Amino acid sequence: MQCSFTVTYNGTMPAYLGLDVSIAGTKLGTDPNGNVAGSYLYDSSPAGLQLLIRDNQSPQVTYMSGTTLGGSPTSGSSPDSGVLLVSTTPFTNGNSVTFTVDYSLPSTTTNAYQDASSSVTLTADAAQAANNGSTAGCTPGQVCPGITDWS
Amino acid sequence: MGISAARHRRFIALLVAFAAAGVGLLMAAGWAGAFFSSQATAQTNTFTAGSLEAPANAAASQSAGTASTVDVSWNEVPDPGSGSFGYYVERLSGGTVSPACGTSPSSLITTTSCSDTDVPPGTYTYQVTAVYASWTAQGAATTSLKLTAQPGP
Repeated sequence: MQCSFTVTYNGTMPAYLGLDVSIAGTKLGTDPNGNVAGSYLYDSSPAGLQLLIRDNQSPQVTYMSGTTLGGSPTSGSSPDSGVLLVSTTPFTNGNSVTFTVDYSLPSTTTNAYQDASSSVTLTADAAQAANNGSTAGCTPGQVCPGITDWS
Repeated sequence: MGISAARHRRFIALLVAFAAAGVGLLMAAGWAGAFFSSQATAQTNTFTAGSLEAPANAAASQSAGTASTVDVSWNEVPDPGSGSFGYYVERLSGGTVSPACGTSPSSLITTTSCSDTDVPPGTYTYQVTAVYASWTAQGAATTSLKLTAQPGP
């Protein structure tokens, strides 16, 4: 299963793009047998929701895989990536990038996830490339310490 | 676990306002200082797992033809989707739970009735559990049924 999110940069100055991935638990699951406590659908475990967030750049950038977000394992049910760098090359007017989200619930999931919900929020950020730090040494799909003024 | 390796199971996902494509980052056209930054409208997608209903209205009665056979029936549970789905039945007597109708958690049936044969005399209730992949939902037990020994021919 997949959904997508296309961002077009319309500014006149070259800018770096960033993507913030924020996950929140919205409803605890209900075990119909009453044997286990409910979980949010995403809880950073191998039994919960698994996400794969990538883009259509070449080479393709992966922002999240399973429960690894921005290159680091998540914990809990409400992780937030911070702003992940989309590309070390600035975007110019009219450039677009499409983010896709694939999702699955492993067949080993438990009753604790029945009727559970979680939300995933993607927020695109931009920062002017000039006079705004450096992407030297940064990896797309991860936080870039050289850029601190995303918004 | 990589997504490509994960076996997808069918579950209901509510996709809310996520497919809206073409969200633009609208920047000021002029040079307005040392730098600018901007944030696009966030797009939120809510994922909701489905659930498995428990078999309701389970009933057990002594078979008309055979004294040691019990007929068990229950309401159908909607199949949540692709993947293994079915029921298993258990016979309860005091604190003892025995498999019934030739079923078990690893040997499911998809019908909504079955016959439990060669049941020794005693008092029993029956319980039906729906299974979908790794999910289970256990229904309420039937009312008690007493089987008495019948004289031989």
